[in-house]
Amino acid sequence: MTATAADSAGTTGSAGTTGSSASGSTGPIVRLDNVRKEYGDTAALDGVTLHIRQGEAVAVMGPSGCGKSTLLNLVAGLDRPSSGQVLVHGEDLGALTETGLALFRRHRIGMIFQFFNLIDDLPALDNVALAAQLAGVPAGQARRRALELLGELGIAGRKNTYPAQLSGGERQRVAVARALMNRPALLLADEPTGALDSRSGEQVMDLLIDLNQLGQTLLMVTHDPRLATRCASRLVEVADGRIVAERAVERTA
Amino acid sequence: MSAVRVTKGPVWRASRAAVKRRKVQTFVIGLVVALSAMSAVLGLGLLQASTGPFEQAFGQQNGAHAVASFDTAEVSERQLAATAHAAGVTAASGPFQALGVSMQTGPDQGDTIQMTVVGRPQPGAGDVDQVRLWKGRWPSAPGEIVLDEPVGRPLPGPPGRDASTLTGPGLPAFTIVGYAYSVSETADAWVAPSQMAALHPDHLEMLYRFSSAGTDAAVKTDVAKATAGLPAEALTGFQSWRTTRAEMLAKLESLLPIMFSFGVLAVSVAVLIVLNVVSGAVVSGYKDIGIYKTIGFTPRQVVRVYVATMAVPAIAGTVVGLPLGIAVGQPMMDKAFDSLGGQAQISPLVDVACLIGVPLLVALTAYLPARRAAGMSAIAAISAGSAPKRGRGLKVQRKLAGSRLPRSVSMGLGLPFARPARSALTLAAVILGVTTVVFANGLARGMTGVSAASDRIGAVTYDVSTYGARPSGLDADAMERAMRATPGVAAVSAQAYDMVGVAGMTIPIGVEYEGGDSARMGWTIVKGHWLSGPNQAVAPARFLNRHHLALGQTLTIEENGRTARVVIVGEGVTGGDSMFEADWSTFQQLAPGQKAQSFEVRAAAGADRQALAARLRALDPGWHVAVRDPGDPNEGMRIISAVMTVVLSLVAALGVFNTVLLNTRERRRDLGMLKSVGMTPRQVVAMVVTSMGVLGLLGGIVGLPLGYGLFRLVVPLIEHAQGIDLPASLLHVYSAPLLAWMFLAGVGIAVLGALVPARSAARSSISEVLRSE
Repeated sequence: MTATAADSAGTTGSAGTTGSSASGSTGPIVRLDNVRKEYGDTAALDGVTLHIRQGEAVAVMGPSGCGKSTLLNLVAGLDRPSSGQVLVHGEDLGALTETGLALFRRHRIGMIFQFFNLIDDLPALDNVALAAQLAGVPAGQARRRALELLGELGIAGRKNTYPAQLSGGERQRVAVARALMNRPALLLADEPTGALDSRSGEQVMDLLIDLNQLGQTLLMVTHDPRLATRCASRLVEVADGRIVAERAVERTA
Repeated sequence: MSAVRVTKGPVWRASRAAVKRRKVQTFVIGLVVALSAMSAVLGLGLLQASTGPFEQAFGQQNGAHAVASFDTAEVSERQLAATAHAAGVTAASGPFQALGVSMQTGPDQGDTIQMTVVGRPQPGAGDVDQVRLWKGRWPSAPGEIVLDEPVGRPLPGPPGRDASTLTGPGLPAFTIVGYAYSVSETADAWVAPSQMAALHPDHLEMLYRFSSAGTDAAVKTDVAKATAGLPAEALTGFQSWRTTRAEMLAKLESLLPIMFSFGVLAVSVAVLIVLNVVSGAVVSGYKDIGIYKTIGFTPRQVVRVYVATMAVPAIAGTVVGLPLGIAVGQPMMDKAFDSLGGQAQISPLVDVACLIGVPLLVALTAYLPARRAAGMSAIAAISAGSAPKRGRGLKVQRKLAGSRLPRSVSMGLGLPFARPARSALTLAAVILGVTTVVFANGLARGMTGVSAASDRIGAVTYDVSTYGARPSGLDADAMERAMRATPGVAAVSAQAYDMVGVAGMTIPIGVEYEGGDSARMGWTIVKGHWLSGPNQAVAPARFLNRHHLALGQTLTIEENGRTARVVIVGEGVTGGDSMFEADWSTFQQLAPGQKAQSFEVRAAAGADRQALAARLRALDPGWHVAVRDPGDPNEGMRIISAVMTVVLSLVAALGVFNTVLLNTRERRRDLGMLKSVGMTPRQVVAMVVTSMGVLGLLGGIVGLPLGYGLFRLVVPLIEHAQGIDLPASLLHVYSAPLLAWMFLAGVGIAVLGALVPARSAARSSISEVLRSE
């Protein structure tokens, strides 16, 4: 992992704003304060409070239906809390309009999904460049940066290949590259190795570790304890919509 | 997808589940089928009506093959009644007492009308000629009269006058109690039989239907056979249904090419939209088909599931659309034909054809792609449509990705290439929509121009006339001088009319002599010029064609023992085949001392029309001043054009709507991803609307020349039907600004159809869709 990917990690968003919270350079960049999320009569999250500091790698674990993905969606601005506050870089996500949330996702975060979510009709290079082009970056400049990122991730040679022809690991690398395009302050990963074979999964784990070591703040959701112990510096356990445990983690090899 | 138990009735269970699960799609398909069924009814109705408006009306009324007149002095009513049983006669009505009279609308008011009045107890009296009473009631007592007029026609006579009574020399006054219409033209008016004795009928009328009356010769033979047993001088004449038919068809002929064109457009759009919507729905469900196969559905069962799934909205849509088509189409055709005397009932065959044909079309359209998917392996069906296929516009999308366009726009431009067949069907519907808009617009403008030219709207403001001899008041010359001196009058032209003999022609010809400022009265000349000197004539194309004449030829006119020669200097737009205009000096040669019978007056620009009319009337109340109000002879064409344009544009827009709905549903995962990387709602809308806007632009590029071509194809047919030549200026109806907005009509249709689903896609939740594969 060299300087290019490192540019993406750490303190800056693509607009050049600092990644630290508005409250100060050492304050949490992600704050969930007493957050509740209801779907009908069901409380997917109930009174969750969680703070994530710059440079942390936090893994959220729990059984299916515990609310971990809901938590990630709230931080990503994909959903709104029923009550409580979600602040990322000082921005109250519950107060943003849909356009505001879109711009937030564009400039502040990068997302990695379990099933990659690449556009099948675009080759790898254009899938990665898409994120910057939506922000108005000219196509040529966006493609150059995309190529650099693909190179850093070891798949520059697959730049003109369509997702259907890529392996699972390659697709996830493309997805990671896309997530890093706009230099997000926060990288969110939802079961990033869930759809991968063990070898590919290992490669992706190594990637995430490298990014975090270069300063990228990372919040991931997983039910894979290996991923959690290898990549995370803090483990948060969720059950029935509540945080039941939090502990620091010694990374294993 | 909910688990489906493969037990008895799995096909029905699966299709019912699919209908329930995809409520929006089911509703949209039902709506599209309803509008397509409506469009098909309108289109087939127009096509069917274009083939026999006279025959429909004639059949409806059990029309008379022959209307025969008999001398009351030569034959009795009993003898005539017996002819109903003559050989070859299949039905008969009568005898009815009748007489020819001259009537006016009110004493000294209105035109004198020559009428045949028949005494008849009921409109449906007898087996033949079931007269259609369309307003008021049938006369039941002396002093009451019903006039024969096509439905909706205004009462003849000077407009603006009280026309509720008729009087005639030596006749009692009649109150008009109703209007009726006989397609066989058996009378101009009807009275109660008890009235006839006071009117002294001069002939008897018998109405016959024959077993064979297909030719003029056959009708003549049939009449001869029916009257063979009567005294030789009894039959004074008869009117054949074939003559009546020819006269009506001449009036209707101009409407028929228009109806045929719109009929074809409507049916085409209906079929295209159904193909697009239904095939798209099935193709978008390929993944489900694959899942059905994995749990044990046989290919045949899979096909049945999809045909059954489409059958629900197909039947519902047809059941709704069919009566809707009749509810819109029948009044449309009634309005279009009634004023021309014809009738066009939407045939039950059209209803049956649509009732069976539309669901059948839906079933077939669902069957073919379902069968294709059923033949695939389960995995292939599941992944079909999600993986890029060679030639599916991938190169185009790559190029667009590298363009300078905003990314949302470039993505939108590439979307149609991902589903080329669906995009092509949608494009075809938009093209037909634009074609309809362009064609209908040109037609309306052209026919308006022709009407305005014929009636000289904007040039002639008032018609001033008098009826009969005037013992007191201003004579014609004094009236003309007084009108010219009236403030607000810009021009006055004088007219006189007479029947003359023309050398080489066996029938009398009508001549209207024009004097004064006739050159300022808006006459449209196709060839040559208007009257500009002595001994000149202007004739309509029908007259010239019938008598094989051309500009520059000379006519020798004879009237009252005097002759005059006129040179044909111009060809006018409209007029019959037995009349022309000539200059005033020719009138003075043939009828020295005769005065003008009427005037046309042109108001000065900005003059208060009502005040000027009052001033003119005040000059001499004996002169009748009427504001020129010709009505709308093209009303039928206008109505059909307007209705079909709205319906077809809506159907095309709905086709676009459905395409966008399918596209956004298929791409909801991509949409979710795009939103997750920061695509704003506005960018989502821009992308989706652009994807259809490009089809709209292409629709405009292709539809514009198609619509113009159709216009140029149909107008000569109308010209031929009416026996007229239209000046090129009246055919240049498409100005540059008009062409521009019609070009954009395609974009408008596309954007209209795309906007709602685009906004819905922009607002849709993405968190769930991103977590599923």
